[in-house]
Amino acid sequence: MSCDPLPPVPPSPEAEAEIRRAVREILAELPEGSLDRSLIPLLQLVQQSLGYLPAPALLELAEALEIPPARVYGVATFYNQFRFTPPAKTQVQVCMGTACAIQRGGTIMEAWERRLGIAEGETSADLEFSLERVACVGCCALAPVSLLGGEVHPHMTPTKVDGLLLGLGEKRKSERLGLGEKRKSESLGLGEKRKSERQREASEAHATTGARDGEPVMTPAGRYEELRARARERLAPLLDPAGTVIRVGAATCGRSAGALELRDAFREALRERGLDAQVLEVGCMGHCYAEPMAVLTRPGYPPCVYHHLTPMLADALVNRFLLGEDPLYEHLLGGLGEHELIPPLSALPRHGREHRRLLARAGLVDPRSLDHALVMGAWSALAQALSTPSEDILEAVRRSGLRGLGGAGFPTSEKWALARSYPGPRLLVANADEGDPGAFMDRALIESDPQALLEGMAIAAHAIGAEEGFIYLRAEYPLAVEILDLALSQARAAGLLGKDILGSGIDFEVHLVRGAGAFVCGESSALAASIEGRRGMPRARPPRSAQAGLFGRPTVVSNVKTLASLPHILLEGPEAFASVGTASSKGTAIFALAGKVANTGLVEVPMGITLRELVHEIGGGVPGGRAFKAVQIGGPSGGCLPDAALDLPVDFDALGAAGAMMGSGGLVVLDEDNCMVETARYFLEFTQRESCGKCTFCRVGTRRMLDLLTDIVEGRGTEAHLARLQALCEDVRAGSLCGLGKTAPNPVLTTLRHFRDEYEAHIREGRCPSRECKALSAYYILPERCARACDACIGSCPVEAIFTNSKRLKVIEQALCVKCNACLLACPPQYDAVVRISPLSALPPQEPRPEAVATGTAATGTAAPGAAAARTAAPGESQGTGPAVKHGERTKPPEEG
Amino acid sequence: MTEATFTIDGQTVTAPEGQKLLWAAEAAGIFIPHLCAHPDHDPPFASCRLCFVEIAGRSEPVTACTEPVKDGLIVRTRSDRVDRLVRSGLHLLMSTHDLDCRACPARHRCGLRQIARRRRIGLRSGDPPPASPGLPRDDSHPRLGLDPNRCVLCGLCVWMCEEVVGRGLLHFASRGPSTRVSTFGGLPLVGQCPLDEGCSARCASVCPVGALYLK
Repeated sequence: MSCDPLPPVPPSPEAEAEIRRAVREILAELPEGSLDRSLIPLLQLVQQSLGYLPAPALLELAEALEIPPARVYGVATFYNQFRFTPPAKTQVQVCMGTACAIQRGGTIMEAWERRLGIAEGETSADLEFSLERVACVGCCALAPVSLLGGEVHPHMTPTKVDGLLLGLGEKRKSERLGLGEKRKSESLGLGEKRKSERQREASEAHATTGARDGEPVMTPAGRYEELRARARERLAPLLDPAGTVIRVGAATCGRSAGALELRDAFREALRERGLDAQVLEVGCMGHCYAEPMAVLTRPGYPPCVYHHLTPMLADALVNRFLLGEDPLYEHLLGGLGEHELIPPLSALPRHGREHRRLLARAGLVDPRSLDHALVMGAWSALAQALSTPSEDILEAVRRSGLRGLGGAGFPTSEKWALARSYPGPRLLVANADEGDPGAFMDRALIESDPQALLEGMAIAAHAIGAEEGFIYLRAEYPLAVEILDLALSQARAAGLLGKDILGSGIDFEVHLVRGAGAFVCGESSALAASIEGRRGMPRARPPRSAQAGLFGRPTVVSNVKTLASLPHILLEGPEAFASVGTASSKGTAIFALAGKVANTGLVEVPMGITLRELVHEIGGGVPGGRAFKAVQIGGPSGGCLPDAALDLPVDFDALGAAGAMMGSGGLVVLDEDNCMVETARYFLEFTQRESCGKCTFCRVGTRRMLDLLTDIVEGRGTEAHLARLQALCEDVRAGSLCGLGKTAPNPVLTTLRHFRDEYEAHIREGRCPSRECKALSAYYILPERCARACDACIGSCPVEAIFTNSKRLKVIEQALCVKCNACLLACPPQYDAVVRISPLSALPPQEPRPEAVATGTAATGTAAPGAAAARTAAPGESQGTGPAVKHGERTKPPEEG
Repeated sequence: MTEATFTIDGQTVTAPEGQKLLWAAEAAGIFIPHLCAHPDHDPPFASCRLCFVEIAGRSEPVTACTEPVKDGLIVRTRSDRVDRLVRSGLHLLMSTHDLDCRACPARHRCGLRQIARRRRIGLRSGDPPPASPGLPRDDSHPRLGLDPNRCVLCGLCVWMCEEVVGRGLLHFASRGPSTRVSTFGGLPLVGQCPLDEGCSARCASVCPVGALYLK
């Protein structure tokens, strides 16, 4: 982690020589002038090879690139991705995105800390485990998640932490016995093939479609039609109406839910029954709540979408639907078309309101196949654009009213016109550094339909006259990196990118740049600094990027969704494009619905739809009969809006006026169990961690705001805290250098405005109204509801804080309780005896634990009960005055093994 | 070069058009607080956020170090909003600053004290109160000392060493609240910086506080 890097330890001379040799080998493999020969890609390659960045490696790189070692060190310590100590055998990463944090991600981190015996950011002494927090892995619909060696584990609970560790132990044991399967590379489907190998395959596949000499001159449209016809030929079996196709949704979310196992089960079932069918891995259909999903196409039926599948169900579907006529209605979400027996997917409430434009192909097209994308219409807009003068494209975009969908909403055509007013060469950057915790739409778009982004980039490049483009993609999205890399080489091989695109004489080369883990790099000047191999620190504006951006050249930086909108403007026409949306915000917006909402997922809606429709109708409202409290929109730069604001339309200006912002489109729903002060604190903790550290107000101001909020949630707040917080928010907003700092106070300002009563309850009564703040609330087992014969809670408690009293009822020993929520989840619903109580003064008196058990228990492996107890020194709790327990009470021994 | 004529606090000032307002004001003898700016450091780093001024027609205060002068500008160096931002920014800087002024090598030439005196801001009255981060001081070098507890991260020494002297021995390291000025790997200055007196003096001369100092 970059937060507290260790000074590099000088290894032995032999080890140093070995490290330097390894670095020189990496350098030797890269051709002169390759983009990979710049600092950040090199640091990534070295870390990939050595596992970490030892001091001699940094020195060797500094010498090779002829830059001062101090700068190499400064750059490496800026980014989260780089580490300076050897990695542990198993890396545990706990996601702390918004959706995870509001669903008790903090207790998951504590559970790992307790079980591994190390704190966040540490590595165990035996190098077995390391524990890190990650800002957001974009699996918000599965929150809270943890990653074990890169594999995503959804819906974590403290008990599941124990389960995973147990499973890992078993796996290790079987590996030692030689029974282990090489499954690691399968976990995300990475590393199966080397990059060069994939590129070679891609160029072979399209070798016949490139530009050839000695042929009659063809228009770009003609060449495109030729490409498409060849794609149709190659995909004939897939397009055969009498054929059977199974599409498995295998984007990151789908994979975490078991899509790859599902894919294998389908293949196995088909093989067993001798059925000839195509099994495709596709991207995301947006129904994250229903993962893993598959779409089955067979003659006589419309494509049928199935939800919550398992390998066993895959077998049943092959047997009963593909071989029989039973569509397994209980697992059917709907059909993509009209049929008298199959209810259409459009009958779902969300479908009447969705307008899938950017996501039209997502979940249907094979993201690894350019042919498939071509058959479904990709790149046809470029073919049209290449024979259109660039001014006309600019004019079409102006008439469409397209605004930047990255969040700020700056009119795209103005940005282009500004860049065109400066002399070239100009550059185009696709900003895919989707850092907002709680947002995953760019990831889903790239994993599902990468050609849409590339086509949009080519159109934009033609319009602004750029010959070079960059895609800055988060390194936290390994699957998206892999898919986009493949898509790029396929598009290049087919002559859709590179020199003389489709014979038009226009050149456009695209480079894929992986970010290295810094939220601030979503800011355009920080992004440029990062691509240039420097610390991602924003600079003062003007000049704007359009005047002097990347490498000092006029640069257009646009979000993925903005670029992917361009083909639609050209195909539908600007007026038709603008007919969707509101007066000032045109087109569609993609939202990632996450948090306390029934139908989590990705939705694309026309601008102007209200937040209420989004949350309650498309999202299906808050599950479990709980009350809606707020919706967090726009991530750390956005705000929390209460029920009263839900009738606001989704529109750049309306949301801005309400103190929130459209942001990247993350939409996290909070319910009555979420404390708004804690939510504000969470966001400030995020911003403060992700501040680049350059300017005073952001670096120190957000830190001070975090201190004030921490005081309030821990019960030390006063009225003066509120006044100070408000004033500091205003100063940080007015004084910060870049957009990150200027918008950092929004989560605090909006909660102060809409939920001031919650702040006041914390300060005046020591009470957390949502009973979420640990320092102000306690867990309690209602004696009148507790069942004598049940001890589910005792087994669930990770610190053995629960004991059985003289009446054989369960009691929580407050001094030991770590407030992890496990007992509340474990208590069977028919009893529902565990409650949270706030303020602490409302806690009823409890009897103490019988002597014999109170001492010398809780010795569970790596756990440190003393530390756990010390961490929760709950002030002011009332100790029981009940009768002391007498002779031979039957107390359950701890069940932990 | 064309000259621009404009007013600062009612005083008519003439300066080359495009020059940054901060330097035009300084040349005219008008004080605007700043720590991270240097006339030769262009484009400006703009990190200390203390040089706010009001310009007629702008909705919010702007930083004088980044603002080019133009004919007819009407500038005010003081207003309630500007004073509040300067006070707030200074107090934030002080909250991570070792305020043992008697032991400080900068003493009276300290930029923080100068701003506090000129703008009548109490050094110790801030919220949060001044506090030393408690980091180890690097006293290894015979001529040059580095005390991270007094550093305001203005970046001038980094700029001087890398861009002017051309060595690049100092750089920012880490991120967010733990950002600091560091040598490669945080190694002691003595093995890194040359012992040459002129070099040390150039680096120390740009430090606005007592963080990088000559012994």
